[in-house]
Amino acid sequence: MNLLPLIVVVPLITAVVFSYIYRSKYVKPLTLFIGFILLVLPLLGTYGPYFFGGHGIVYIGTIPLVSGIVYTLNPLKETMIFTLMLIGSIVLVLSTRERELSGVFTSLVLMGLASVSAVILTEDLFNLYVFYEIAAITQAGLVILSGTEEAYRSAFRYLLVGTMAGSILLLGVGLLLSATGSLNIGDMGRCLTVNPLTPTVYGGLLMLIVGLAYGGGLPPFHTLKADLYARAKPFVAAILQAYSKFILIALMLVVLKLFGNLPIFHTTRGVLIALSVFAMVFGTVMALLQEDYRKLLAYHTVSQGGYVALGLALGTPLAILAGIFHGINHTLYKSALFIGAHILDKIKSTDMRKVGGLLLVTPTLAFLILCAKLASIGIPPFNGFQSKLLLAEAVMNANMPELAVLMLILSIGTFLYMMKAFYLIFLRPCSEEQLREFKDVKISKYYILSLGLLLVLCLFLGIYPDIVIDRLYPVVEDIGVKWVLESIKNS
Amino acid sequence: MDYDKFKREMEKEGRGDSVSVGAGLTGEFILYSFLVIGLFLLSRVFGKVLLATVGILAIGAGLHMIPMVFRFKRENSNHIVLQLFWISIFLGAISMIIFIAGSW
Amino acid sequence: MKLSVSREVAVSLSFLLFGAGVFYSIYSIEVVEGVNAIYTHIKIVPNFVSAVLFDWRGFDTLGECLILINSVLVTGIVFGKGLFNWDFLKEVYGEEKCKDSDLGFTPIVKVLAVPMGVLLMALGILVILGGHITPGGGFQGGALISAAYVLAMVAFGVRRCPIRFTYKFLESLESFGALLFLILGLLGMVLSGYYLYNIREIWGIPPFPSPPGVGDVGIIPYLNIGVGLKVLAGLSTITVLLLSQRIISKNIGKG
Repeated sequence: MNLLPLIVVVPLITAVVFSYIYRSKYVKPLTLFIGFILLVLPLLGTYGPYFFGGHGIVYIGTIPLVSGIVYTLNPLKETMIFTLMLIGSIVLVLSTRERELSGVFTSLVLMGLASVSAVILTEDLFNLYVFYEIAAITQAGLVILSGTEEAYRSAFRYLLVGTMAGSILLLGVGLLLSATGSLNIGDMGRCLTVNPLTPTVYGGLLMLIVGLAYGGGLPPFHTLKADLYARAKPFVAAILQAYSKFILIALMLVVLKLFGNLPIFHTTRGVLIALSVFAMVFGTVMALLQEDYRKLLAYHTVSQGGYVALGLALGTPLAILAGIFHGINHTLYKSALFIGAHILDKIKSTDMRKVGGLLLVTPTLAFLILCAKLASIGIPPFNGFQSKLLLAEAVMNANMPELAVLMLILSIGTFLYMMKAFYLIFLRPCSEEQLREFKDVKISKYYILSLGLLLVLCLFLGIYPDIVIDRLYPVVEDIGVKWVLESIKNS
Repeated sequence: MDYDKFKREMEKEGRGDSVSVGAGLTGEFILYSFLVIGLFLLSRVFGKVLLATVGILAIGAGLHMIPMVFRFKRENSNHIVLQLFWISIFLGAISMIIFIAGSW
Repeated sequence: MKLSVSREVAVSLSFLLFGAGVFYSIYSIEVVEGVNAIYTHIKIVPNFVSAVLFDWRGFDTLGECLILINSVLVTGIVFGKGLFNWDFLKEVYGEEKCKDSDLGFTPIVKVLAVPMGVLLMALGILVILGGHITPGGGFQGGALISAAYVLAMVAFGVRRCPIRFTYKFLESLESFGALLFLILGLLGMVLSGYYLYNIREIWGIPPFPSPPGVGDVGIIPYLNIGVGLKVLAGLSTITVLLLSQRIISKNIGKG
């Protein structure tokens, strides 16, 4: 029996249970337990399609159409879900160190994990919309949990804009349904290639891109997203950025599958590349201007989201591979950085003007954070280097060397603000009594261990990137847009 | 770009230490090089003389507006009015591109 | 903060463009029948909409229920359920006296609210139970019942509301409704391998009985009941949260 739906259903059931027993004293042990269960979930499914309710393929005339909802599992989706569940598990385990943990937090994290894995797994556009909406509400809720006034503000603003973007996406799904008569992404793509394009399809594409920009945090929604990450508790921000990164990848793949073979894709590709380049530049420049470590990390997330989107928008198999690989890598090292910020928050504050000289207090932490920073800048032997190299190669192959130059310049910017943060937090001289005050704070071993685990993974993927790349490449080759490569060859 | 002038601007916001000024100045250069490289790419891909001319004009306007980075920071602030303004501009621009340029 | 005039012109222009785009694409809709041909030709239950909602695309309906559950949970969080830090809420609500106010409607409203509420509840139950035969279903019926509750709450105030649903009761009802849906789906998976499989019989015995006369409807009425319970509890919970300050002060007091 194929247990694929359990990846989504088990977190959902436990989320409902946790939201009911949220004041119980067993919440902490149960959270720890479910944190380990999550790691098993990605292994349950078998590759191939899964038909919900037993409604399989039916024939109308000679055309095969999927009648119900289909989920498919392939190595690409499995790797993404495994990364997501790993981050979720780490965050849940770390949350048991919080004094005020309640079942509500666990419930929301599980709800988000379930909905994002559903967005990754699904082959059905309406199903994708439903779970996309759950993920949006969940992210706002997770931010409100930190309970400060700014958190309320940014979450309400996110929800306000989310109502607009979500309705636009729903309207787009409706338009595409009316144009193709199906909601299955494969069927819709086939129908669109056969029939002539109508304005309805253009409208659908337009609205899909708006939904994608909101879900993935591309401009002009990047300020909202960055505010969201900066206001949440930093270890919660670790899971928030994982959610939006995977939603971005999933929606980009949907756009590629639906419109990749149409003539309109030429324009779409331009729009998406422009959006992702804007995200890269805006994120980097804004991060350079920040004084607060959390905000700096938040804008860094935006700029790295631009890298991921750039890879997927280029549309060649190599570029898609690089984009997705960078997304996975970024999720890993960024979670490490956010957990580091959480420790910093525990010690004193994430405002970089208020801390200093922490190297003398916690040398282990300083070393680990330095490694995570190196990974995020893209310095060998860490994984960030491998994926950025791959991305630069893909950009060159796609006949856009200017973008490679821009990536190089942005890398210098990234290096600068990461090292600025490292200097201000760990190296800047500070007074004796302040140091004594910092030394009094005890840091839980859990944090250091989880940081270490994430960094070992980063190092491992940096040395043996082929483990992931070989799994992803066959899947990505199918999705890659063939004519992009041909047109490059011809020119 | 004059370093001293830039430093004075930064000191107005109370962030005049050399680390912040250096970071801000890098941001300024990144914005400017983004403008130049982006226009390079556009004029090469589309291969139109008009576009290249407009691009050179835009670079000139950018040089005139230096320092751009403060203006840029204000536009990216968390104020809901500015956010909604840019979202509406985005909606208009993207629908124009897809409906008009897409149907060529 | 106010936008400059040129920016306002730019906003109106861009909305004009976007609106024209949306209008143009909606205007030129030509609906392709596609997979709907199957939905309208294979009869599962007399109400074809219910068949699509609960049989062909049951998992979507589950997702929509969870959107509601999630929104109710987040509304609870906004009012202080399980926060990490209550300082802000204490600042906002600490000064005021937390007393549930009686809105004090006129006797006409109060007299009318009770029979109306009873009628609405009865209609809601009818709509939920007959969801597979007649127009309606869990969402609509649940909304009707919670409308009755909201009517009574608004007319009589929280303290003297004649329909006595406690907050705890509504919470359990909601979780129960959602779990019923999720577990019925799991049951289908155990029996056939497909999640949310419409179980009509096991070894010749129908495990989910329904009134005779409309054929084998399987689990659809039971899914309707689950959705109905969840929707009624969810909407009522939101109303309680918005009307009653006692819950907020209780949440704050705990922290």
